[in-house]
Amino acid sequence: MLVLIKYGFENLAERWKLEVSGENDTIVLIQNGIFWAISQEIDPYLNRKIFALEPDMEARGYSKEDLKVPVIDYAGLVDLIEANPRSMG
Amino acid sequence: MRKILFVVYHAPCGTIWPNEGFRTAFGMYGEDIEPEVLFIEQGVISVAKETECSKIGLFPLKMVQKYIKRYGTAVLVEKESLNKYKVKELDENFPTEVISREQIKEKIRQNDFVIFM
Repeated sequence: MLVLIKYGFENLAERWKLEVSGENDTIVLIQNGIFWAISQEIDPYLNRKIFALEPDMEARGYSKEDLKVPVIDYAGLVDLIEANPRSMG
Repeated sequence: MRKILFVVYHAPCGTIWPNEGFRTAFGMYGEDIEPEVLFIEQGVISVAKETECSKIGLFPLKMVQKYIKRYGTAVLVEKESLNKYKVKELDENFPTEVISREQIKEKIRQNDFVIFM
């Protein structure tokens, strides 16, 4: 399942989504979900496949070195959407 | 038939999201998609017996109950959230099923799409 996180770690629903996700799920941090990637809040979930959307990272003034997870571009996101017919967002 | 789970985490009485959760779910029947509605976090207040937004002049939620019965829409409520927000009694006119977070993890995987609102 593909899990999209678009709000920061103050958002209860995003925290809940991460909590119910499984190790086989793919998580993509988009929009303000990027803030998870710069925080220790993401640490309990690093055993999942987690990516951050690079354009949303750059728009918020961060670089890859600031993030705890790898980045993908829009083409990479489309690939993940195609590869995961089920989604949570 | 595809399945979709709407997860409502916003409280009623001030936000329209619980109403929207049901409105959108009912619309799914026209697409031959089976919807379920799950309440978590502050959203669980929506199905509490004593909740009535019209007490303060806001849009009521209980109007959807007759459509839930008509369509047989599944209404799920997270047990942990009920405890967290101290909901003592559920409105029996919402045919709710109380499930744990562990059970929800399984439920999520039975749906094609899970949409938070």
